[in-house]
Amino acid sequence: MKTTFNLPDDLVKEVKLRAVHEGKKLQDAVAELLRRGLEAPGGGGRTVVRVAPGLLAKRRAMTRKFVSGEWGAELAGYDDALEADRRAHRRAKARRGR
Amino acid sequence: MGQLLDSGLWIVLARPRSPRKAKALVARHVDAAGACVAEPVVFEVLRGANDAESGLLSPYFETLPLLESPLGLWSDGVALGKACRAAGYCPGSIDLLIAAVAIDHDAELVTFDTDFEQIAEVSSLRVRVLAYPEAQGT
Repeated sequence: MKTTFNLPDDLVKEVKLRAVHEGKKLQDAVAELLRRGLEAPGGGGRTVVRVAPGLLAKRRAMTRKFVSGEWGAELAGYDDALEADRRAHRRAKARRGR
Repeated sequence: MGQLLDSGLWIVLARPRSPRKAKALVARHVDAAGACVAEPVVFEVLRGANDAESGLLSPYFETLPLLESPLGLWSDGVALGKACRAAGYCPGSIDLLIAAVAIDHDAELVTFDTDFEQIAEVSSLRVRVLAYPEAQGT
């Protein structure tokens, strides 16, 4: 199919250069780039989570310390923050009720 | 695909007074190869930690993959918040950001917090709400 686009000069130059370097016709280079763009995952997508075995072993050793009670963190500030959020929520609700 | 572990799981695991069965449940998820964290989760946990506690938890978090915050995190959070509000829900701001990261990466959010089910109702969030095994003793 024949079609016409208005594209930025610098982009066209870059694609032309790439086509020359790769020994391709401009139209083939553009088609390939468009195909690659369409096949690429969109923002985010299914992220594959990979972790190095050494890090996983380290994590599991640390987990054991928390489970056994050898390590512990009360994190009192977490409850304070939640309470602050609840107070703000109650204040907002009261304002709306006035 | 990973499992994004919500802040509440880290609190349960870290606190000495948490029931042992609850800690064991969380530990199974933390120790899974697909477990990961996100910046809003790390923020929510560490903002409540003193220096000594941060000294334990920061290196722990570094052993997990960090789901990158999307460029549109804040606007995604706004859109989620509006969708929730239209449905009659009002989840916390940090919860909206955590959900936005999970949705962007299509990660399953593992949590004890049923508020995330409300966010899931109005979005593509995949959530697994764990039952807190409090009644089963320590």
